[in-house]
Amino acid sequence: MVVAAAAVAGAAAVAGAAVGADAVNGARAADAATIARGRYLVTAAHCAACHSVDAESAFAGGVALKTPFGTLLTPNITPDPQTGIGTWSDEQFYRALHWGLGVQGEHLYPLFPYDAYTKLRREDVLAIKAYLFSLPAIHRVIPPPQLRFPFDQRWLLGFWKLLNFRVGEFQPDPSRSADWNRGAYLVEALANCGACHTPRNLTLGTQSGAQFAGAMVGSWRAYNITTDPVGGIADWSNAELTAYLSTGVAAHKANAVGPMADVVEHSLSLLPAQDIADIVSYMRLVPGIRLRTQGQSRFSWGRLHNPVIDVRGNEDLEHPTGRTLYYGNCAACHGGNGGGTPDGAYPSLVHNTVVGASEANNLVMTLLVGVHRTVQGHTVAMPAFGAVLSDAEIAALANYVLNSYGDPGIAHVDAAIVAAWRAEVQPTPALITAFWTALGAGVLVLVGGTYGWRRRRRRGPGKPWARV
Amino acid sequence: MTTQFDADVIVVGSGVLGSLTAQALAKAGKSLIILEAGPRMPRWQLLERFRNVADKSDFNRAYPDQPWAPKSSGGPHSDDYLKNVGPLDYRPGMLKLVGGTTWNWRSACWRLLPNDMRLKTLYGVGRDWPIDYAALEPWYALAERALGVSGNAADDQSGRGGAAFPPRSQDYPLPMLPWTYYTRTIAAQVESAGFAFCDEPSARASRPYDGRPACAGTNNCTPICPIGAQYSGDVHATLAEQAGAELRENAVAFRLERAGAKIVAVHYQSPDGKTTRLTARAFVLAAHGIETPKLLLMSELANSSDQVGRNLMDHTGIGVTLLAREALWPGQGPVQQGAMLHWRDGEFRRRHAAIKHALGNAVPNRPVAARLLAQGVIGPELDRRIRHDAARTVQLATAFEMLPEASNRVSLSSSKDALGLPKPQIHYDVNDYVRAAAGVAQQDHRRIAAILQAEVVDGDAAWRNGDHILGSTIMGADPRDSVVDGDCRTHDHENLFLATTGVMPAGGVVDPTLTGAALALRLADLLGRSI
Repeated sequence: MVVAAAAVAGAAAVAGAAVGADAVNGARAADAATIARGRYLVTAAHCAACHSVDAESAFAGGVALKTPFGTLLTPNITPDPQTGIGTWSDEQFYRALHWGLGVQGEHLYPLFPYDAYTKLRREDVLAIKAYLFSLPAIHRVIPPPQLRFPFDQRWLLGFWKLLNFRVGEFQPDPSRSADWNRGAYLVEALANCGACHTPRNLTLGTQSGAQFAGAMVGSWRAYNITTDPVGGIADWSNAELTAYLSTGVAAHKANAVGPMADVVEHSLSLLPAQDIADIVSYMRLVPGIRLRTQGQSRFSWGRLHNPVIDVRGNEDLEHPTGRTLYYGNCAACHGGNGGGTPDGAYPSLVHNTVVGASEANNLVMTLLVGVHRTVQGHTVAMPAFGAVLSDAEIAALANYVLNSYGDPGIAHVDAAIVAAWRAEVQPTPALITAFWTALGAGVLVLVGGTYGWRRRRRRGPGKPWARV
Repeated sequence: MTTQFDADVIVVGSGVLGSLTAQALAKAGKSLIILEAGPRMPRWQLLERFRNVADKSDFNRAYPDQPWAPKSSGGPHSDDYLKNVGPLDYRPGMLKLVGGTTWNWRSACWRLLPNDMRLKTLYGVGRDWPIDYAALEPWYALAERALGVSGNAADDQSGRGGAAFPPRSQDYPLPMLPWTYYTRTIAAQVESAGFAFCDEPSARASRPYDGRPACAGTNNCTPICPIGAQYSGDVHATLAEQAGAELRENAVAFRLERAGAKIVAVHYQSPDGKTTRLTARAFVLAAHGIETPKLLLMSELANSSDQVGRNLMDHTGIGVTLLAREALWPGQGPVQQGAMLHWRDGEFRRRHAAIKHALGNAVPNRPVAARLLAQGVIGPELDRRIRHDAARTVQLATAFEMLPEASNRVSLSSSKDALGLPKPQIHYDVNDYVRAAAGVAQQDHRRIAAILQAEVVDGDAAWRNGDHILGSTIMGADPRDSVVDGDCRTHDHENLFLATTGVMPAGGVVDPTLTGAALALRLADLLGRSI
């Protein structure tokens, strides 16, 4: 599930922003306040990440989501009547978000995270629709998904829902504070942090008992954001969490890269300060989980280390070591000792959450694709080295950085791993394929009355097949 | 067309102008082969080579020195390559590797003034361009976008301190880099004394641009930007390859073959001496202002005017080093940020050359230490004086406009290089037009020293190369006295084009790369639509 870079049209601060034109859908006009609310919700949910290829074709879909089962192009959700959702009724729109059902009653692929959006309040769902319907209709035909068997069998998603989907709007917890409840709604229903940060089970549902404990997003690692003191964020101050979420930078600790940089740029940095504070309130009370072997926290690794005296005059530039590659490619900005600049504009690699992580993914991916993050008009950029350095050179460089400034215990990156991550090839774990194939075959044999079942399902939601 | 070609277009040279031409043509759907005499080398390797070089004053040393691809200096295969036979030793920067000589430049990206292109008409000296500023303006705008130029569109670049000039259809793609304390302080002081001080537009990214990071102020623009914030020709060499062009490294073009008035093939040698013949519909020579005329002379082509290699010009200049009373802290930020251009244009050009005083901002510790050691200063006093003087050193690089003269020329030496090809022979001198300007410039130097309450520590007026090779394949309307027409097409061969600053018949007093880039993009557009 690769979150492609995308832009929210007119990415200004959105909360409470007035929207000029009244939108008209058939006979019903949405008021400006509703549209403004919808715009805010769409930003908080970062819909553009999957539905916008670029700012010019906002929400016209066509973003390719690579999955282990094939590539899916996201749908056009502009109000175009032929190729978008212009003919959808309120009920059809609500059904998609709340029940994960298409216009024909078909199951939607859960790449569309209705397992989160089901928690949205109905009036918010309709505000989202009002906002989308206030936007220009863009005519763009999106080809249907091309997934390999058995994943092309949408009816199997019924079983996915049985196992992984709990329908129901968010219910505030009266025993918790108002901050916490607002944060919960943002995190669970809108921003859907768990989509990336919660690991998946055998059936690709979010793994129970492991919420926010860290997971893979394509070749990137979404880190553990639970309150575990070693694996998670317990030792981050509120100010650090707030700065990280709203600007992408927690000074001298963490810098958002990859998909998270995209989330900060196009969603979190555009939310009101109170929303970020509410998210922090909520995340502070998430149970701590440590799934992996994490000996010490990500930002505690490394020490300043500058072997430049050994380097000069002793380099074999035809057969470069990681150290040579570090000096040639990294030291000009990050320093010969890895310390970056005192103001953090060029981050230190010591006590750095990417370098000190227990997986080399984000270090390698950052080397390959660089960083490009624009927040409040200020762009932070690191060049991509993927076109300059070979897989073996990236591996050697990553290992040097890990040995010098990160966890030496994981400095075993090799060219094959880099090649796989570079290609964003996520081989489907055999177990998952086997599970789904067996499920598909088993169901075909055991459940003879599939056809009748699907007909029943088409009559609408609320039937007992889905556990509410 | 029944004839099969190896490519639609073959470009000789992968420097900024060749690569821009190739990339534009490849993007337009043409098949392209680029021949590069030198090897390919990544930035990190060049950077580490420079860091490992003992003599940091030799800016050429870190670049590849191959027997088959000699550079202008800085290695056993290169030091004896350019054979100077005239009064001045002319040794302009020339590198041979993928990306060419802009690996080592200061990236000043000035436009010419409209009057620079009408020198003969307005002032009765030199030559006019066959095209005017208006014809070049849209291509300047595209070239600025291609190279990622940071600049101030509000500046009067004619040096008078007036309204924005020359005219431009588009703003710079990037805002000007902020001036350092040194530049700000000196600009304010000279301006209060009546000199206009102008920001120098440069191909250093002031914001992240096209995958390049923003300038980090390493003060290492020459001999190599460590992070690629400053543009270098490899950017478009890579883009050309991504657009489908085939780039052949270590391929030394040594002969163009003609049939009738058309060029049919280019022959190149590999390091092992093996020769290869390639055919194309059209050929673009973008092999640097010295090597391009050499290749034409070796091929005995495009020279019905006998002007190939003649009219060699540069912005040969003089320098001065001052020691200011107050600490100004040079060395922060880029190596050069602005200039005084009050002698850029005017009636005086009838009598003497235009003048540019560029304010140098390179970390001066090395030359300061060398000067103090020569004075016998040692021990703790040396440390103290280096700290003291380096903080107060002001360097001015003064350049002069030159006029085309047939006697300033590149020809074929009887001396041969490792592949058995003739080395370039150079006869070079400056005339009274330039010498008259030098006297004016030195008066300026004294005034500026007085403004900064500075003493002149090095007023040595030795001529310096500007590394701006002009005129050697001169452009003109008349085939009898010029090599190419206003479209950079050789008068003699309709399918042979030159993408080099060597075509410029007048270069004002500003760095010519941007003008060369604009001409290259214009050439590529015309060529792309004709084949």
